[in-house]
Amino acid sequence: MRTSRHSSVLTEQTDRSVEVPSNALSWTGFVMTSQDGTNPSSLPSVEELLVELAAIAEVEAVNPDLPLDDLEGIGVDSLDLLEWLYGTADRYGLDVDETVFERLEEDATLRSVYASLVEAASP
Amino acid sequence: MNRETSVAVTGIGLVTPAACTLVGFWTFLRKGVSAAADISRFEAGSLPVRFACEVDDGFDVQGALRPKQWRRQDRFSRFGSVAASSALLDAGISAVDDVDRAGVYVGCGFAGIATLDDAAEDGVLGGSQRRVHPTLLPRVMPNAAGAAIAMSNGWRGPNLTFSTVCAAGTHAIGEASRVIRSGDADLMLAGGVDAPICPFVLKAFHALRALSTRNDAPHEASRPFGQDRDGFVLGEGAAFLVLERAEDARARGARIYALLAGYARNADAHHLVMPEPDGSGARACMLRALADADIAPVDVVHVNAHGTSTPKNDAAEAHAIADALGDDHQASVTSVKGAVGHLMGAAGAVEAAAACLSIEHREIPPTANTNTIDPAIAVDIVTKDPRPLPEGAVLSNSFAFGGQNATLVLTPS
Repeated sequence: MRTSRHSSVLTEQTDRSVEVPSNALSWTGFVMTSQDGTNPSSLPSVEELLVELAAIAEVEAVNPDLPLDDLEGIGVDSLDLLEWLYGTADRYGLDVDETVFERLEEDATLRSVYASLVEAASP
Repeated sequence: MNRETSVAVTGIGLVTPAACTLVGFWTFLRKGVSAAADISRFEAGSLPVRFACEVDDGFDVQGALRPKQWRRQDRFSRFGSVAASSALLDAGISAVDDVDRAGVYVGCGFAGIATLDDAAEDGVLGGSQRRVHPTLLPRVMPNAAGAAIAMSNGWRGPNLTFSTVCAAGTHAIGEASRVIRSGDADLMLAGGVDAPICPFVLKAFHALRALSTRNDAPHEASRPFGQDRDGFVLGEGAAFLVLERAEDARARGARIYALLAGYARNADAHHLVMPEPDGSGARACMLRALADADIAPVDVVHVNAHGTSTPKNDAAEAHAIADALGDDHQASVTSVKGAVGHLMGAAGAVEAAAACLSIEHREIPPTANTNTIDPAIAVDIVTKDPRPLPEGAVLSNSFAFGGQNATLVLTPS
């Protein structure tokens, strides 16, 4: 039984965590899980989801129509993107991982990524 | 290698179980007390050893890490980032002229092992979790701390991580001094990091009979060179020193804590977890370091010992010190592990920092908890109260599992 151990890890992580809705995401350091373990709720808009990406990357805003290749230029790196993807996937119970990026066209944007998430959320 | 180049220590940064400021750390050491206590970060009730020297969670006193840096770094890297940042602040360095000539050398024993222990508990390592978080691996890799420190400062010079467990911090500092001496860099941040306190490491060291089992009196458990010592106390933390050419330091009006006058490293080639009983490897290491500094053994006035509080290490080290320094030596010996425990990869760096502070304050802190010295220890152990430090050379020793030894020679500027 290591409940208190995980609590302390959580406390440490959330000391400086991204500000997201309080019922949203729980990060123990290596897996992200929906706290209530229920089925995914409907996805918010792409703009709403990208507010979280901006918070993760510590940039002011992220334009959904910016090509993925240009994200680095505004301060969003590959780890920011993966952290956001995994957080979103776990928060909404989506069966997606980093391969979502491999299936996109060369000039894909975050709106294209969002379309993949919507597809994954569809029953 | 230019032996004429003097290397100066101009900044010190610490994250330790005792304190995270230089004043707090030194005050704590002078008191001769211990930071060991019951483990608070996880439920340790079922473990054979339930105490350690933990760093308080408020260790980032100056807010050195932004939220993103904090999330991306494992506990050991956070310790390192904060200690490195404090060291630069202490040295009065906010920017460097040439980022290609500024580097980072780090000693690290166990890196993200506590996080991996958690991951194993959650089935991530065994494969029962379908996915692994993409930031897990870059957080737990041993060179993550060096990478983080380089990135936060934009330094593109030499950047290496030494994984010689208990001697890693000393190796990092010694090797970094050679980088300065050789002219490969103008400025080096060198030190050690580790955050090994987790059930797996506690159980593993206990299995080796290396840990003290004084669960009923943690604050009295680490007693280096004591008659009834029964093992070391696991600790965590980080320390970094700023190293630069002494002439550069003087030119910019920097305070010089000490000169890093010599360094040596060698191997026992004897046993994976035991020192040579006669300490001959350690002895040879100290003598080589003194030769590197061109200092006679009799001129050593103080040894900041590896002094783990294990029966075999302390006996072998005391033997080695007595042999190396000779019959006429006047050196006094202390071990800060009585106060802060064994910080593994960070231990040597914390001890080098303590040795520098001894030179700065002209004082040797006592070995905490050691009230009755083992009669077999034939060197002068400082106990109970601080003692004045005479003018002369100071050694800082580290001896690793694996038999890798390292010694630094520090002198007043």
